[in-house]
Amino acid sequence: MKRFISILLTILLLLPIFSGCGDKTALDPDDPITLTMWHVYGEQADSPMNRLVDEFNATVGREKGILVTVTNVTSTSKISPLLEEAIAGGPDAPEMPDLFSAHTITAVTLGEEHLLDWNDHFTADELAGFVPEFLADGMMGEKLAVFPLSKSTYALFINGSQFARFSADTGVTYEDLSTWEGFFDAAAKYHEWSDGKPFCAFDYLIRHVEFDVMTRGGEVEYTQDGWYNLNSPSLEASWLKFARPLVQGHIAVSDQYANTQVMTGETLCGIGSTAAITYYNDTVTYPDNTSEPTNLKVLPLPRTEGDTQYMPMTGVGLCAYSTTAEKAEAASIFAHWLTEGERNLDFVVETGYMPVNSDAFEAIKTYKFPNGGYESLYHAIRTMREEYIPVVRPSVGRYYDKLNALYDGLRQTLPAMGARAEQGESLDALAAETWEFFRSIR
Amino acid sequence: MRTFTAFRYSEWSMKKKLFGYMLLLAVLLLLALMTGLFLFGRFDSAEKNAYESLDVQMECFEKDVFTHFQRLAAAGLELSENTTGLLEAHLADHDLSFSDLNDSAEEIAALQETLLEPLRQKLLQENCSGAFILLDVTVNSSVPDAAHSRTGLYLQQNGYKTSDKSILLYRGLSDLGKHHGMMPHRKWRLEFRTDIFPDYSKLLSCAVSAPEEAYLLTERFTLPGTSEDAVLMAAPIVGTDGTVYGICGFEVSASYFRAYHAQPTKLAHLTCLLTAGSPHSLNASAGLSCGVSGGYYLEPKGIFSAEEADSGLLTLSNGDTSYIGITRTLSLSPNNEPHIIASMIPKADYDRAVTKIAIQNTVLWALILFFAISCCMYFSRRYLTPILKGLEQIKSDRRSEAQSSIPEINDLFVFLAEQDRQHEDSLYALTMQNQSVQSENARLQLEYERAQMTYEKAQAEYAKAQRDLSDAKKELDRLAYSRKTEIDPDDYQYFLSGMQELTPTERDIFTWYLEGKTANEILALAGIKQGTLKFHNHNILQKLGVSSRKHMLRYAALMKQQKDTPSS
Repeated sequence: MKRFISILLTILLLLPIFSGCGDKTALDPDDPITLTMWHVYGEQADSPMNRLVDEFNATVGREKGILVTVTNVTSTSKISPLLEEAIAGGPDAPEMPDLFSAHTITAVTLGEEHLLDWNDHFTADELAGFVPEFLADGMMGEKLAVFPLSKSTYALFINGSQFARFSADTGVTYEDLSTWEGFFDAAAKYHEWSDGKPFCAFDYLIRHVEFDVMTRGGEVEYTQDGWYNLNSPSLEASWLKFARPLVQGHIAVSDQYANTQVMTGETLCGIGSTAAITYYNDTVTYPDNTSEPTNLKVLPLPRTEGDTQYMPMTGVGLCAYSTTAEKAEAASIFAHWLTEGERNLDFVVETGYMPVNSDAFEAIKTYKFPNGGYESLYHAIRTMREEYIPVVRPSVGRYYDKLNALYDGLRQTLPAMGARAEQGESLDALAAETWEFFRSIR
Repeated sequence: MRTFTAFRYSEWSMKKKLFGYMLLLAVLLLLALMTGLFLFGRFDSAEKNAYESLDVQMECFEKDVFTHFQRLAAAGLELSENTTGLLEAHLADHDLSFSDLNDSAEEIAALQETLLEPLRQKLLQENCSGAFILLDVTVNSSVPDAAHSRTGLYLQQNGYKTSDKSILLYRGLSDLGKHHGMMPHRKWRLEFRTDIFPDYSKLLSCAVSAPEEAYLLTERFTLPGTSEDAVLMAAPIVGTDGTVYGICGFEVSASYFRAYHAQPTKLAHLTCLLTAGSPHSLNASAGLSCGVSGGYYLEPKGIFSAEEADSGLLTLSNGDTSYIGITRTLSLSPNNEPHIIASMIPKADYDRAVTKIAIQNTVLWALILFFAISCCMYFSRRYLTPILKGLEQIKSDRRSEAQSSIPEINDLFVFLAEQDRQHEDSLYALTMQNQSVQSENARLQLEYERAQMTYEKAQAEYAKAQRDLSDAKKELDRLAYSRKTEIDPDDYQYFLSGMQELTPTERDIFTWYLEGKTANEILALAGIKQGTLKFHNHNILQKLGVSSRKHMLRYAALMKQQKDTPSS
């Protein structure tokens, strides 16, 4: 009897040990793990990422026991402070998501110790399929903390319907918009043609000033706290180049997103992220409630006179909050699924981004686009990819706070400057005034 | 047959019987316990647990939803009343009729300016994702499809789930919105489209209802230009003269509902649903749903048919996904059919819980049974050991000194000691009697031995007499034989002396003759020829003084007899 009891107890004690043997995954399809996600794809609009998440949950997620739940769809400008608030904690702080979109600078702020190293979950062969500079952009030391899902650049979005009328009346063509000189000339003509409307709204005006400096052979200098060296003559010259049409109201700093000004008919075109194409409406509605098809036309960024042209490379990547091995495995499966060639291609095309793996980049050349707007966007991206040099701008410290202060100040002062310019004030003086305002931000 | 005999009760040992009784008692107690637990409803059942958990969640969810939408309905009625007041005041100030607003961009802009801030305040006060005022006029009645285009304001909260509380202008004048710090929504439009506005006609018809009942919850619809679905708690805006100016109300988007009503619960995969349909057929795609606080949410989609399951639970299945849950009807507006609310968990979770509890119960009862058997064995052994020890002591020789922890056994020892003492007395008497018998027996034995000796002496004497008789007869026979075969003593002496003269070969041959060997055997033994034997025979006969070999053998026999016979 004693022997029986001993054997029984031994079996009972060993049972938990043997029950764990042979398990290669911590995931259980019968008890799915939930991954919360914040992303920036399709805020206030139809979100392709949400559809992909639904597809993942219904297929691979269901099979493996992973449920990705999107708990916030926001924008790239808002997600960073939200993440910082979440990781800092506090009674009103939102809970840190398991997966989130973030710039590398945000990842640095969050602390690499909190983030999953994707190198541990992708083999060297798998990583070899991705565009090297996109991978490099997500590195924090030896750690691949920001996995490239999509990368964007800037492009010129035009209300094609109105441009056709404007072109017919003034002779301005799309070709004229290939250089800044032609662009500013068209802006002046549009201002006159439209009875004082700005031709174009800029989402990120300062980047074009930077590229102008670089194309002219200069170097954009930064101070130790990440702001611009405002004693730089080359920066001043390039700034004034943009400031002159700005103070005349030929161009404008966008209220927030240039696409809203295009769809309300406030401007004819806008320069912003290629990802903005998701947000462009099919129709432009004017204040008298008349409307017309947008017939969106997308062109490469205008060129500066010089040999080398530059384009920004922006776009957040996918980060995973490092918690449990189970969640890490689930995040890895989701990231693999999300970046598979065909799926990545469909995703980036819908969202207006550049693909992140080399195969998808090739495949985009023969892709069937949903409409002419997308086709012209990817034509513009391909042109810039081939002829422009992508630039990742380092940003540290309170760079964005200062930049927002600059834009806010300009939004407030430019309408009055436009009136002053019409009254005959010196354009150079007005432009210099904006430069002084720029210099005042420290 | 052996198995059968193993169960023959009469052959069971005392230990086996006691164990059997105790085990029977334990089993009966367990059965009584199980019956009691079952009758008093304390038996742990997955079905009952699931029902209770889901019922609690249902109570919470029902209360949350009812309170939420009733508050929105009240706020909607208040917004309607306030809008009517502001609108009529504006019209009075500008000496306009309501229809004069048509095609008047300036008046509409001024009216929107009046309505914008109060609407924003209501949006911020209420638990909703948006608030709107739709007026039954348009800024431009000459545009195509102007009959379906209506002016108004539609504000949405941008960051209701985060600290970002900015407000977006979804419908209305963009310049006005920007002026008040409200950026146009990414999918902004100037005016509403009544042809795609949910339940628009029905809402207008609510105007004839009593003012406190003039509201309804619209069907779920997709916010134009987005992938977000929503419902509206809306009310008609009715003038003091009964003119219907439009509608107003609050938006609850699917995302907002999901975030606001996420349930704090221990049910890891709880899903709660508010939808239309019947209790037997729930259209989840037409409703709003929520999951669990902290993350889990899987939107139920499609039409779920409900079938009765155990303990009041329902199996809800759309062919692809199955849930276990409970449903109730909930009336949110007098102008809506009662809604259906459901509290449910994935069927896989439920099945797993059933299996888990079954295993737990099995293990629990197995452990109790094991414990009962062990106790039976231990206590039966513990109880019987002193008894069996006592019995062993009873069997032993030293039971008079035995002591037991059981008084009854000690009494038995005393009783047996008395019995032993009586037995010893009897034994002593018998021993004494035995000794007497034994001494008598010894005396008789001695007499017997003496008689035996006398008998043996007589036998010996008889034997001696017999031998004497025999000797006499032998002497008589010898004397008779000597007379018949008389031998000359001188010849015999010559024969004896002649023996000394025999050569070794002759002596050997003489001996062989004496042993009865034939001539041929002697030839072989001596290795000689027949002529040589004849020569030796001749010499032997001559030296012994006999005439023939027969004569020689007679003397030889006599000689041997003399040698064998001790000299007397």
